[in-house]
Amino acid sequence: MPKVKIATDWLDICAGCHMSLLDMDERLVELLEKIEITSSPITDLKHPPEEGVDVGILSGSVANTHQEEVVKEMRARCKILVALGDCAVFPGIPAMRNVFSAEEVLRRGYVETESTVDGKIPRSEELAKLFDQVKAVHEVVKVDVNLPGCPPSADAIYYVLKELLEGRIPVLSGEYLKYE
Amino acid sequence: MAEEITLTIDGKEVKGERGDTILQVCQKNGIDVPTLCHFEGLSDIGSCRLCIAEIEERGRTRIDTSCTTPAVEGMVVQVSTKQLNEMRRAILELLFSEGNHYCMYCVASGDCELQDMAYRFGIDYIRWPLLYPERHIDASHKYVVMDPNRCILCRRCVRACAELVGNHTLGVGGRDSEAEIIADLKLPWGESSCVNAGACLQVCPTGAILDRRSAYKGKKDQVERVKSTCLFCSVGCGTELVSRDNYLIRVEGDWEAEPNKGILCAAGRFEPLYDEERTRVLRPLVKRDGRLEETTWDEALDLVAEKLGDSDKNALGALTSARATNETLELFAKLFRGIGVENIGCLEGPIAEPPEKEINLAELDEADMFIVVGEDLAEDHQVVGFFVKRGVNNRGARLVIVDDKETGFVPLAYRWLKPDEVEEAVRLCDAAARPAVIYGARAGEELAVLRKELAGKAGFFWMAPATNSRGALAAGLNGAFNAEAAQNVYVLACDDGKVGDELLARLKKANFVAVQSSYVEPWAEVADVVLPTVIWAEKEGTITNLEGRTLKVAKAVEPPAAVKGEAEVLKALIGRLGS
Repeated sequence: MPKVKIATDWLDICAGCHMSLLDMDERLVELLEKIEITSSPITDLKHPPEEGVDVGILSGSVANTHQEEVVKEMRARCKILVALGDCAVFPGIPAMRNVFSAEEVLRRGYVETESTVDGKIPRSEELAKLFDQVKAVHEVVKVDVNLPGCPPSADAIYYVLKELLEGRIPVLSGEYLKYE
Repeated sequence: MAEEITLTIDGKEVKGERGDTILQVCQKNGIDVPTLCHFEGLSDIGSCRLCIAEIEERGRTRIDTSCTTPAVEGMVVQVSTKQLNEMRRAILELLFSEGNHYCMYCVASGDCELQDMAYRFGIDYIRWPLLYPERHIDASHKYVVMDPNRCILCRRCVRACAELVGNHTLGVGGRDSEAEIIADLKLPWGESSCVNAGACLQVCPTGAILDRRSAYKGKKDQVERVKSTCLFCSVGCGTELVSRDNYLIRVEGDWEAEPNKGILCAAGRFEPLYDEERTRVLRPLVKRDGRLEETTWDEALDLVAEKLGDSDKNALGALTSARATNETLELFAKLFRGIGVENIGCLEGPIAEPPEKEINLAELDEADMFIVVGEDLAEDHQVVGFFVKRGVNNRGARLVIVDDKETGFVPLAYRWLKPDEVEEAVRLCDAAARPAVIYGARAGEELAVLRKELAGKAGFFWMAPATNSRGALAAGLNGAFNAEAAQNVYVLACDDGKVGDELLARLKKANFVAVQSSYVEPWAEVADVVLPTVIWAEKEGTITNLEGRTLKVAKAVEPPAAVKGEAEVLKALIGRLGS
């Protein structure tokens, strides 16, 4: 049987969700007998393969134009999209800035910070544009599985992957459904 | 007897009483209905909508809140259909989208009723756009912080403040998504009419109202809870002492406790933990060259036994705090009576014995008039004050104050009379069916007038001056202490700090003073020996409250290593003195 292909990426996030993914420890070895990880923040491949993958996993919220592209590309190239963690689902801590405009946030970060002298907001065309509102992944594209948690536990991630491997869309409850 | 009614809930025939709401019938019959704004002991207002039920009555079906819909004979009710549960999930998602709920760092995560409900209904994302309202945290209060971002407007705090404390500080301002909990007419909480009862804190289902001191110090599955009795006045409110790893983090009111039914005042809930600034005595101390120095228990006890044993009986004196437990007071009496000491009294001064039959706290909720004599309920016995406020503000009872002093309750009073105008209070009682006279330590001749004129009509209620005044009376420790005659004195101070300056000045002149105390203050200059014993949260026993009820005091935390229990120290002295 061919291996199930998985691609994953992170967006506006602290990386804790991917740490939790690695926390599956020896169960990762077991999973790797059935899955193949293609693009990910911890492998060299930075885009999901053009021919597509079975499962795409995104952690983090969508805060700028670059991240929006990443989300749309992942959606286009995967059959089942998993939003991993509170930032991808709700959209978590990054959304705390949603009471301010993007311009206010940039000014605070690059100009007004107490430790900054003669600060300047970077405006290069090369750079992604910050959105006024941070969005959850499901606000940008259709999401098939939302797995909240800050971060979701390794057990919850393992459960979701196992269910998907069994051909089922996981339903979360009990220890697997946590927002903290 | 209430009339029994029969209705059908979820296809099951169940019984309730006429006057029950559908929710009450469900609860009596063990049918689980999800709720958020409902709180046992508060009125129901149907604000959260989670308890919705499908109600079939006289051939018509409607959906309504079960907490506010009266159950009626023959009603057919559904409370757990798929449709209702889908609506509940939608309601919860709306609550999340309307506020700023960040579970990951919230103080309440793990203890939050909103979160529990969201888990229960399997909410894995919010279908609607989040509103991100700009709401400002109010951290102006000394003991609590209000974070409106986490508020779901269930109004439990508003109801607790009004219905339990009678204070009506909290209310709702604004409309629609702008609605918010406000204090008075939108004052910062710390500048409002708040009396720091903390009932709002205890009923909040989310992390919107949080206790500054215990925030992040332990969730419900990490803490231990012990039911005890507050030792900071004679009301003897039932408490739950919440601790973690032998560290007391918070005091809560015990909803099941008889005198107070869950309410506490600042003196019991906050002040002991926030405002205690005295220095704890951790080892026995003896005075050498005018300075208190640490010593061993044996040396300290031997010295006390020697000084008391060698003293002329007439020069001996013994004083106790009337905050000690019944068991401690009995041992204290045994010890000093046993060695023939007659000069025995309480730190609080002699206690006048009240008549046998008086009313109890619960009866205050039925009084239609209060006459408060020689007592400031804003300062002392504050929980009794809450009963009075409830009566005046919520039931229209009349308050008459008979006092020389302008007490904190004067603004609430119908009349403020001077003691020589007491006849006017008697006259005002003509209009009342169940007047209650609440009298404190400052009540004088005017009380005798009221007793005579209102005999058989009014209930009388004594505000015992110290926590266990009744226990001290029972142990026969209510006599006047002669500080002039006492040259060698033993003081059982417990953790009491309220000692008159005059008494301290007298004791300073005594030949030898041994103090059994948890704190150095105010004894540093007076004491020749200090024997460190437990504080309120570390002791066990009973007290007799102002109603005459025997109430259990339980230990929540272990004392520091070299600090002993009160009984242990008294027994050691009994052993040494042979009393």
